[in-house]
Amino acid sequence: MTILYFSLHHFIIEGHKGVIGTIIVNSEGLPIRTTLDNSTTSLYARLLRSFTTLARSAVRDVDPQNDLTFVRIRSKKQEILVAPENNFLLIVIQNPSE
Amino acid sequence: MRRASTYGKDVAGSNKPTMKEGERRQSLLPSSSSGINRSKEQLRRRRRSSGFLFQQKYSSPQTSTKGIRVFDSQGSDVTPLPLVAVVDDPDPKTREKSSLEEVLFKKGSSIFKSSTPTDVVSSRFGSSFTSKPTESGALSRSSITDDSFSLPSTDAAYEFPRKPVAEGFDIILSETDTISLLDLPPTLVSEDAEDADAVKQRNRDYAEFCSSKMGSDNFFERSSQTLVGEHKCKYTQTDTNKSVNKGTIATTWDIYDSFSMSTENRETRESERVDYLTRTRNKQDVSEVTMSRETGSGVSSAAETDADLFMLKTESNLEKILSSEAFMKSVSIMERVIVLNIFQPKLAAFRGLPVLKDPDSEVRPGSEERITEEKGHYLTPTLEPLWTFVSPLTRGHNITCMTWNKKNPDILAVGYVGGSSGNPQPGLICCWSLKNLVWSERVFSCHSSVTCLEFSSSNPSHLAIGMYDGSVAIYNVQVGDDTACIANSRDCAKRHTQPVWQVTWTKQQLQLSGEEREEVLVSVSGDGRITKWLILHNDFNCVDLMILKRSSGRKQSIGGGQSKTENVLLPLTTVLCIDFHPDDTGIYVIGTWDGSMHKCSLSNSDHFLDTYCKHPSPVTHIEWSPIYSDVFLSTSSDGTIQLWKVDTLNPKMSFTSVQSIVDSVKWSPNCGTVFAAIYRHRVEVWDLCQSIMRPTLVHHAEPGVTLSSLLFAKGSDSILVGDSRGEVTVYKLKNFRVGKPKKVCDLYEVMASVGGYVD
Repeated sequence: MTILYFSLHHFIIEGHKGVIGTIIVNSEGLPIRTTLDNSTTSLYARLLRSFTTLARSAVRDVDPQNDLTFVRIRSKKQEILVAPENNFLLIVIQNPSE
Repeated sequence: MRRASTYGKDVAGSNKPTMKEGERRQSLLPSSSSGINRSKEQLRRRRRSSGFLFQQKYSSPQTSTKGIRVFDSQGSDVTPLPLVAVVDDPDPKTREKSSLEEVLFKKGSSIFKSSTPTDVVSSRFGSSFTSKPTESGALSRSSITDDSFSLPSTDAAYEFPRKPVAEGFDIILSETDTISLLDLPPTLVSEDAEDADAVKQRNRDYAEFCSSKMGSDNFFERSSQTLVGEHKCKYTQTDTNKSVNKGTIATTWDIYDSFSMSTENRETRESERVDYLTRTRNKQDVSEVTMSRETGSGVSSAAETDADLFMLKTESNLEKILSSEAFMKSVSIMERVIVLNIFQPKLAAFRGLPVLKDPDSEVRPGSEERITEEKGHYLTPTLEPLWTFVSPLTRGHNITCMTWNKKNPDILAVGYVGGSSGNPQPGLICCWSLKNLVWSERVFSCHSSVTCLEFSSSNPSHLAIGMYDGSVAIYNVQVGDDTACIANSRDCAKRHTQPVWQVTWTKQQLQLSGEEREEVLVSVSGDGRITKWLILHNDFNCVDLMILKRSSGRKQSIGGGQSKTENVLLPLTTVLCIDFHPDDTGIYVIGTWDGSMHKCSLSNSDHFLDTYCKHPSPVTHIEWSPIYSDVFLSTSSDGTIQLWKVDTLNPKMSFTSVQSIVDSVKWSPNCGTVFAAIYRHRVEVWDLCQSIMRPTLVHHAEPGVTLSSLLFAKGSDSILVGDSRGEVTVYKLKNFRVGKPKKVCDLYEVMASVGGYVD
């Protein structure tokens, strides 16, 4: 039951209201799974990777035992959500006011 | 000319050491002799030599001799050639003959040019000079000895004009001054010296040695010239040293990481090495596997295999990432964030926060009208639906019970009936969190329909459930999988045989120490038993607190041992609900099937303390007021809600609205005079401050939907309603306290105002 739960679970993100796209980037910066087109994917992957590194550096500089868990960039038109992990990066772009 | 000069040097140089008979060989002194000096030397030498036959002869320039011809004993012409070319001779051919070597070594027409005989000869020539000191003077005519070379006979060439002159002329020969180029005075030893003999002997030995040296093959004189090497520019090319600038920023966390990693390495170096080896081996295995797959596919270039390997690697990488635990966690967090984004206004309303309009959202023209419309109206209390907890797993299952977690008020546990109610089919429990309104955090399946559940307060993650088949189970909701059930009474011998209608946790005082409170689980069931459950050494066991037997008149309880006057086996009566006193946990009130409620005590398992009889039909729910500790509500199937005070055996107030089964009644945890009751097809919210005759708010269910469960949310003006579709809808009480001026109502005041019911 729980396995079914998880497999249903992680593809539900793309079905949520307002979600424009989902990108999974591996540790080398290559997008390995995406729902957007190639150019947009590579653009987001490249930009957000460096941004996340900078954010993590900022968090850990203040306290090295702390670590970054989530990054949200709220802009006028959309919200970019980044879940950083050690070996991958999960990026979701959502337009919440739709 | 050059040839002449070098050889002149040689000869001149070699002359000097042998003349002196010294043991030292002198280095060559570069004679700066010009041609004139040399000619003077030659004249001198010639005068000194003897034994040479000279023939003065005029000779043509072509022939080697200039009037003087020298013949040796064999008769061969050994006329020496002139040493130095005659300066005034315009004929260039005479210059050839001026070289000393030609002069010295020409035998007739042949000219020796080899160096080795030159050296030997020059030394011999030199020695011949030393051994035969000549006298100055005129040229003497003597026979030519063997192996002696003739002197250059071309003096005549210098002195004599080329053309024969008819008249005679005088030749005046004069001696030049002796030019001493080197003067090495010999060491003179007197004959009378002690070591004179030794010196003489030494001299003799040396002379013998020198003479033996002449002809021996072991020694030959050889000169060498140090060549000053010519400077040569040699160019070579190297690669430039490439310089790479490398910089790093040592951030605080970088230092911390390196430090912690180094300490870890020191501790677990071997194990890590082993791990690394196994890991690399695994990686190699994987790559080997992929390689073999690639080679088996046929002709493929190296580039292709590399690309395919890379693709495979990224694919496997993707799978690995997708199945990793970290990814699941990220996904769940992401989903929560997305859902919170979507439901932000609803959650704000739930929490009682002001709902702010999104400044970036486009303003739709329709919504504006709606807002203005509402402002104008008299606002009736309504239930505004916020959201619904529903998921595909739970759709269609009737909800029987809901409860909040005691510690984390954001977690809601909902119990579902498996199939249609009444049939014992696998039930379902879902734990919902307010952070994710779309998907339940936990899903547990039970072997029977769930009838009641409650969270423990001392172990906030323990959830006790009662099931339709009479089992009681405890789940640990922190664990997500099937091992969450930590206790199940299925195997217990004394388990309930009838459905468990309510479970409740209660803190009890231990007998020995009065202060400590231990939490026990109490369940009531259709078999008339009120049992206390304990977990002892992984054994789920129960102890009966009370057994209720039904009797026609006064109800009596049959405890262990003591039997009353009536020995008839009475059927057990179903206990439908129980609620413990909030303060004095030794007292509880139970409601039974036959409509009577009893106040009982834990210490007394034989008798009831009190009996409250009012309802003619089964009491479905009893609830103590969370604010007023001596007031409780009861509902029953007759559609009435009764408000009781503990010490009064008659209800203080009674509320009726419709003739329908009241499934449940709940006090509002926020306000002491508000409670809600759920009927089959409507929800009523009563506010006793406003009215005691009718409910303040009535909400009708949608047609075809039966509302079955009700719950208030603490700290929030919302209620949760569970229905038969398997959905839990969260409603906000809108405009509830509007209209009347705010005066804090006391329930006692209300009760006092209803004076007629006081007994």
